[in-house]
Amino acid sequence: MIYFTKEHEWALVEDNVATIGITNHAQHSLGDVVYLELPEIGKKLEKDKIFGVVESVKAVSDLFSPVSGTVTQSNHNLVQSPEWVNQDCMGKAWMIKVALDSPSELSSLMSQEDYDKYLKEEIK
Amino acid sequence: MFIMKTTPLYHRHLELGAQMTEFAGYQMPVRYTGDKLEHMAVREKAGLFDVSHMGEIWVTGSQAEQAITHLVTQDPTKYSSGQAFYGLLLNQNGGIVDDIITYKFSSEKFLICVNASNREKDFDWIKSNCDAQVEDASDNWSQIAIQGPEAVAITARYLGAQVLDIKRFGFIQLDDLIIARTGYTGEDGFEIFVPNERATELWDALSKEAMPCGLAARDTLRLEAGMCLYGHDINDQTNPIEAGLGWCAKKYQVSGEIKRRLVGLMMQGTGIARPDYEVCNQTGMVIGHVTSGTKTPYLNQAIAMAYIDRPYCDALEEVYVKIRGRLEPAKITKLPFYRRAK
Repeated sequence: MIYFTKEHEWALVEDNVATIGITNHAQHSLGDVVYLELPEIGKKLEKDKIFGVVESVKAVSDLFSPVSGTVTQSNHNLVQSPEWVNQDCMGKAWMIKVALDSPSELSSLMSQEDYDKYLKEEIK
Repeated sequence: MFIMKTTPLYHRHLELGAQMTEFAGYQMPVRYTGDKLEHMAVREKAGLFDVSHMGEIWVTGSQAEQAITHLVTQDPTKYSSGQAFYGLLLNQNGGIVDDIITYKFSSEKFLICVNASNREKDFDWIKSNCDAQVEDASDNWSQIAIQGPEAVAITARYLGAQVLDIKRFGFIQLDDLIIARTGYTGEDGFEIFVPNERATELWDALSKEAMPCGLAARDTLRLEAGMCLYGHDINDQTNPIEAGLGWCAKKYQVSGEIKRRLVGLMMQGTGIARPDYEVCNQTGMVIGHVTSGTKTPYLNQAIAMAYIDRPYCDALEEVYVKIRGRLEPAKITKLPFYRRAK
């Protein structure tokens, strides 16, 4: 299942591990991404708290964790090639993988359908 | 009710798929395709900017030259008709009201191009401090900037060969256009004042060969070129000397000593310095703050402008920028970061 936040992160959950990145809307709003800060493996994350930073030519934006849990992987290749965020935000620009503390948290996130609706509202 | 203003090119921007943003009360394009692409087009070929939000103020009449002499930091009598010059409007305390370009048509006719965000303030300041006739004509004029190594040739193809003879900071009147060899990118090119009703026609002609560029690219280009942005690098509180603008304000007298200077910073690590970040010395003591900063496309390097206290600003040595609690090394460098090959 894929989930979304109001801050425009996505979380793809498989076997209680969430792969996290930012959405197409987010990368488009930011413009050319030039810098990323991601947490190290083993870092404990709290839902809705800052887990990293993404910077474009024009903007600095905090990254908010959609879930609570422990970082199991951090995409070092992406830190070396931040432009991937603009090229393939749902694919090779995944940022971190997190082992979930409490899968029940997922119910507070948006489905693809809800997120699409939310975007239409927000752009209005 | 707050009404967002638009330029005559607003619908063109939407058709081109621009992301729009509010700037100085106007709906302006941030980018059309991408910041890097647009920035590089200006450095390598040519870019086109809608800068119609800029203000145009006429100062005319027999008192005009005296008014400019009194209000602008440069001496207008040293310039001929058909020449423009960069200068400052200063308040009673010597703070910068605005940085402007003044176009001399004759000793009785001057056009001042002002920052969009300062338009009303400047008009009031000029009007209340001189005896000349002062008219804010901003709503009648659009402005299109074409910048880059190919900008002059492209403009000549559409407007005629006479533009080739315009010297740096010179300008001509061609029909109802005012074509000035000025810019805000560090490249050669023109800023063209055009009546609103002809703006779209001119844009469409020039955009066949010059890439439409948004405010984001305009900002990274001017930063590489070491040019100040009013409201960020200079304001009512800064004086010309500390801002490095003493060259255009020679008659300005400093009362007291200069305590800080605007300098360039080249980041040595991976972090990017951004406006308002603190600058520290080796011991972590705050010695200044960043006013503009980004990672620029052409230099592919994080650069910034920052006010740094004396004497730290005088030595070209390492300082530190505080980025999210970490101290990241930066080298003080002379401005500009980028200078085009002549």
